[in-house]
Amino acid sequence: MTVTQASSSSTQPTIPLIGFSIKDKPSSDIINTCVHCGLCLSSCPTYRETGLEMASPRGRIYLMKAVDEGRISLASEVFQEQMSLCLNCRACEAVCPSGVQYGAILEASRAQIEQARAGKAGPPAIPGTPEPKLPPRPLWQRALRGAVFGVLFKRMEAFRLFSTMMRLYQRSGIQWLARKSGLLKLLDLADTEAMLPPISDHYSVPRGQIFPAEGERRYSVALLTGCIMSTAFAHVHEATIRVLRKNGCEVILPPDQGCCGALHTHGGDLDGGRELARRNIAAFEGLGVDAIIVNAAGCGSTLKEYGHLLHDDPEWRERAERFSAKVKDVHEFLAGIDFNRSELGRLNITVTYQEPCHLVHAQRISAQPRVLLTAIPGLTLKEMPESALCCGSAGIYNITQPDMAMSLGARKIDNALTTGAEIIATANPGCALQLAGELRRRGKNVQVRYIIELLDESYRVFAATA
Amino acid sequence: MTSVAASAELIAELRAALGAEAVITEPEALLTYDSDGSMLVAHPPAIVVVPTTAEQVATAVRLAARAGLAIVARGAGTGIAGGAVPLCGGMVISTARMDNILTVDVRSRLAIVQPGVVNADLNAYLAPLGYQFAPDPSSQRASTIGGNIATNAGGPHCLKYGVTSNHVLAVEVVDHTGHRYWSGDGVLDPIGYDLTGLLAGSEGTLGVVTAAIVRLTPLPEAVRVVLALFPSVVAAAAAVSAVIAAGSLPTSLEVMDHNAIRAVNSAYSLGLPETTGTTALIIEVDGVQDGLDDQLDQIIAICHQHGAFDVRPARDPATQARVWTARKSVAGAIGRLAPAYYLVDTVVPRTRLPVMMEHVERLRAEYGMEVCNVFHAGDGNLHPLVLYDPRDPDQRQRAHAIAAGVLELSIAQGGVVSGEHGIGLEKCEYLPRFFSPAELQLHATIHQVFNPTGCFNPAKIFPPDTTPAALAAARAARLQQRDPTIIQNLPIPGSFVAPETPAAAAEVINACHHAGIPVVATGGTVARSSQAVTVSTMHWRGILVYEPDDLTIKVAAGTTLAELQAILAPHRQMLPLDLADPHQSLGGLVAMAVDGPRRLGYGSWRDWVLALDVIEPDGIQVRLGAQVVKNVTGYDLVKLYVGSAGTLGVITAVALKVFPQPPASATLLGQFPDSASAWAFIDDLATSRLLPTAVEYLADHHAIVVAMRTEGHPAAVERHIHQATIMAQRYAASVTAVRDTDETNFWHQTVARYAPMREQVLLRVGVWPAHCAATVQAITAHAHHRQVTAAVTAHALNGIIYIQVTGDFQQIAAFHSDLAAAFPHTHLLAAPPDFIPHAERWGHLPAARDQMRAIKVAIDPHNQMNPEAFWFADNRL
Ligand SMILES: Cc1cc2nc3c(=O)[nH]c(=O)nc-3n(C[C@H](O)[C@H](O)[C@H](O)COP(=O)(O)OP(=O)(O)OC[C@H]3O[C@@H](n4cnc5c(N)ncnc54)[C@H](O)[C@@H]3O)c2cc1C
Ligand code: SF4
Ligand code: SF4
Repeated sequence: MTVTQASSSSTQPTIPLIGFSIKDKPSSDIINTCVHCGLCLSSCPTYRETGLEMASPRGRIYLMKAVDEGRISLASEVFQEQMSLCLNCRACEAVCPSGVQYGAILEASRAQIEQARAGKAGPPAIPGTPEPKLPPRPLWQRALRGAVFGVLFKRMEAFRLFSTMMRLYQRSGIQWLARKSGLLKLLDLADTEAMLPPISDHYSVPRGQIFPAEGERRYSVALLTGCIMSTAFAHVHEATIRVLRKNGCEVILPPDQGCCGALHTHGGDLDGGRELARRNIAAFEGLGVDAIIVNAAGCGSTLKEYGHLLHDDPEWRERAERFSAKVKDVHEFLAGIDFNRSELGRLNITVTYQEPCHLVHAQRISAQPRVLLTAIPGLTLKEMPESALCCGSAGIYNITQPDMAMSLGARKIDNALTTGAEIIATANPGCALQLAGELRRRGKNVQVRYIIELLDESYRVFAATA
Repeated sequence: MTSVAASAELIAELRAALGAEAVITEPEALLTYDSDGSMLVAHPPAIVVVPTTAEQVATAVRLAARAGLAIVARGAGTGIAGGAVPLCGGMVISTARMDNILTVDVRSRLAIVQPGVVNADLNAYLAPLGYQFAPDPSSQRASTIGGNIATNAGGPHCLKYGVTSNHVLAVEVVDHTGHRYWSGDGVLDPIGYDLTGLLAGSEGTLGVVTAAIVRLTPLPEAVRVVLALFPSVVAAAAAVSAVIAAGSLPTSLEVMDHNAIRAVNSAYSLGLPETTGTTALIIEVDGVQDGLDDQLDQIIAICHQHGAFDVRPARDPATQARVWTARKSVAGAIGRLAPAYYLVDTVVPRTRLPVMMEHVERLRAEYGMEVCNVFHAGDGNLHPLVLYDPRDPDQRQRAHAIAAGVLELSIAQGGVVSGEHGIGLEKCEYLPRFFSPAELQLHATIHQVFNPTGCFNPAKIFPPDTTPAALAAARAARLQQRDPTIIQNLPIPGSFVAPETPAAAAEVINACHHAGIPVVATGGTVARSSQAVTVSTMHWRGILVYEPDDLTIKVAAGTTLAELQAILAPHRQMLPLDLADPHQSLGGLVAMAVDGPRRLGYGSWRDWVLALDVIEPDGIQVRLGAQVVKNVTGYDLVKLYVGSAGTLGVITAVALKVFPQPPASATLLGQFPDSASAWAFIDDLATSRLLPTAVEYLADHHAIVVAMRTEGHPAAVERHIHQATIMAQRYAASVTAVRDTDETNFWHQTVARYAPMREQVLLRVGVWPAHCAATVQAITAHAHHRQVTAAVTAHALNGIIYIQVTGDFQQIAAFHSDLAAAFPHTHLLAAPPDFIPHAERWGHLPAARDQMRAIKVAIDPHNQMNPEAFWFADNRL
């Protein structure tokens, strides 16, 4: 039998194709770690939904490999569509026996597309091919990306202003008007709008506050306040601070910190992400804390990967690695210390747990949230089917891939409802929004809560009864 | 087949029929369908369809066939023999969207599923119900039931539970014209050929599977896993044989060498030593809680005796899961060690494992490559993974050379070319080395029957220079050829011959073929037909190959069951079959697939027969299967011949899987006040965690009795008796437990109730087990109505009901036709000579009768082999 290599079978094109550029190129070494076994297929939400090989991790890696080897073009619609349809949920990465670092090559592939669209790709990786250039994005997309990546998430004042406007929009009659008038339908924003959560009345603004530990001080920790968490979910930060204090932690909110940059790195704006990373590293450096605590899964995984993001930056690489080593997800942190079980009060509730991708897959944190939940007296944890399958919310995914986001959201809620639980617990703002949106659309009286909120509630019940 | 492009017209028609989103044509998208898990060869298809229903598959096949496109079914594409690679282009039919579980009937222990259901998803669905789909290929997390069936996949637990084909009751198939048919309906032992068994492992070359009825297995109450570390692979292999010889049948015996350990050690935090030579043996036992720890301790002691330097029991489920995930991830984890691997899949008799391992080691050194060994040691299924870099052509060559060397020695040691991954594209060239030309022709004949246009999965299984069509044509010519001049000593119709050897029998059959005289085989001493020559196997007796540690035996077909048991007994082994007349020949028992009550715990002939030697209708001798416990080398022709009633050839030798004698056995007898309470007890048994090896319902005008047999560790046996006693007493049963000779006697009397005897009418009705109670009730009512006496004996959890009928012949005939009308699987097993049977003595014609007839015509074109059997006789071929 003649053996042909998988990669060299299709005919070589005569005109040079657009390949990757050298800058932020997806690593060929990582691509080649994939042995094409297919074990990741069934864990991939987009494969589960579409049943298409190209919408699977193996298929996407195969497409990247084909571009990398100059067999298909960066301009290929299939390639671009698949890089966009991927949720970057990294379920594939968690199950891959070969340890393929999928997130890294996906983010690099997206960066390749964005660079080429922006005309900033630089020299090609395959000699003899043209410099990677793609037609720019339509104006509205560029404006949106510019506003989101360039302004909103880079400058916290801008973000808070935006949040205030959204709050006004919700509280005032305008929301009612917009809903009734069908304006949103017209703009095709109805689904996105349904997702907006009730927004906190106030913000957590990090100004260097120090909250003392309750009782004996066992640890000193710093909290990442982030963007959405500090505005829409400020109440979750407050709960987090209370819970940490109950566990002997002194909690610091260092000033000058900001958004973690997840949206940027996931969306292909690696340089934007790097800028934010440097700012956060500087903000948290020299505090001498035992841990940097994050209560949002997406932010946590991003912070833990600063080392990788700044790998090629000699000035920042080591600082980034040192920073990342300190980062702890709040559930991971609590389950890892001898957390305070004696002051937990009774909550007679049935809860199901939706695992945020960036907790279970990106950070491999799966047992700890359950340890915390089941520690609460009276709480019954009912596992839903496919608890680790992405809920369809992934950064700006709801806007770029609304259909897939919708159907995954519906699938998640279907699964959650089979448990009969009255509360869906989670640990990430994206998930919280997505779940709440889908529940509201169905008119279901099921709450979405952060695990840390439930823990806080339990401590408070104890305090009230004691 | 040459590559044909998909025309615009075809694309439009497919879009119209399947929906636009189900038809893929962009070249970059097609590229992702150009290979499977093997990465051996790649070729993109011309078009991919992703149907959701069986009807859409049928439409797609019809349209593709009309356009002359090749058709390649694809599940998850985890196959590692290139099976799903569209080497000739054409249409890939992906079953990824056919992922619905259609029916689950836990009481019947079966489920109906679409082919794209992922093995692990089915198991996740079944687990809360207390059941599993037992085949557990390491790829189960992703691979589909359709793919598992098509490759007859195995897994670590196959040692105890068997391979996929043991767990498939029927499949729905789309044939080359786009017509859909079922190979069965889930009822056990239907009359006719076992198409289900034949289609399992056929690698998509005989049609597209669009649904399957699969068997469910109760989840064990308790599981114990132990990981033992040995200084060498050879030491571990010796321990494997010792564990088997000691008489316990673990669910798995899996070996990982130091390279395999390296691949998974850190990723799954196993904390194992990685020094060269270190070999891990994973042993799992399951069952009821009682006695399991004792069993584990015995195994641990054996490991120590064989040089294990560290033995780590994994007691909690989390640790067990981690060990198994790690084991199942080895192949996938190779990416951590090398960019690619060549996985060799071969099975040898278990006792040859040490020889094979030394050989692998020699090859490794000779070619200077890294080899990682991870394998199903209990089954003798080797999996050396040769690590290489595909970008280096020299390394590729060396990897292939090692694979060739391993397979060569394996064949020489009585092994097979593939144990579980299939032949696909990868191993076509080995087929002519394994099969004789006549055997290859027989395989090609089957191919020709189901795939006459060659549209299904072309270029697979058969080597390019021996196309199925050419082989089948050669065979047809061979079977047609008649040369009257060579006939000497021609036996006359009605005569009885008992040749000294199979070779002499082949001469006789050859002569009959030339003279156009039919042949009927027998194990007995008298002529069975006045029209045919009766060829007796009575002189062929005794052991041909028996290696007790392999748990397999090959005997001549004339050997009786009693003789076989006598051969096995000194080694504390057995065949778990009880018959009223143990002096029947094994050839006859296999041909008729005669079953017994213990099939609940041990399965039946289709699960035990590993290989057969057969004389074909023109007198040529062929060997089907091999004396190893797993085999996907070509089609599973053995299944075709089991239960074929001598219509396809004369069986001259039988190779079987045998079992260790259980250390203890007991039978609980419960006499119930009425049938309702008896069936209520049976329901409770079915849904309990108990694992009886037989549950028999016996009813006649005297009494209603349920007999439950339990075998295994003494503590487990006592637990069964104790718990079942309490359960039976809840329904006011009077209960006794019988043991030793009392037990033997009881079962002897029980099986006599349905031994075919000339003087009595004996019927068999088959139904889904859930319907067994209602069916028995209906049978009793019909008997009452027709005023006949019916003694009912049922394999209560298998859905097989035997009815011994006495009374007026006309009334019995009316009773028979009542049952035949109500139950399609009503079969007249025996009747006195003057009884005029109802027309449908074989039950309803099976749905796949056309395929069965086509097989018969292709193998025996002149209808010479046992022409009276089945409905073939009534309907003329
Ligand atoms: C890491 C790894 C571990 C593995 N471990 C094992 C193991 O332990 N045991 C084992 O037996 N195998 C193992 N395999 C091989 C492979 O997973 C099995 O062969 C599996 O059964 C293939 O299923 P699939 O759905 O991926 O089928 P595919 O690879 O898509 O197809 C396999 C074959 O089946 C045919 N086919 C698929 N669906 C249909 C259908 N509906 N109708 C007709 N034909 C069909 C295809 O044409 C092809 O010939 C392993 C593979 C990998 C990558
Ligand atoms: S599991 Fe890993 S190695 Fe296997 S196909 Fe997926 S990414 Fe590739
Ligand atoms: S990151 Fe998620 S969506 Fe993307 S390929 Fe992996 S599993 Fe699929």
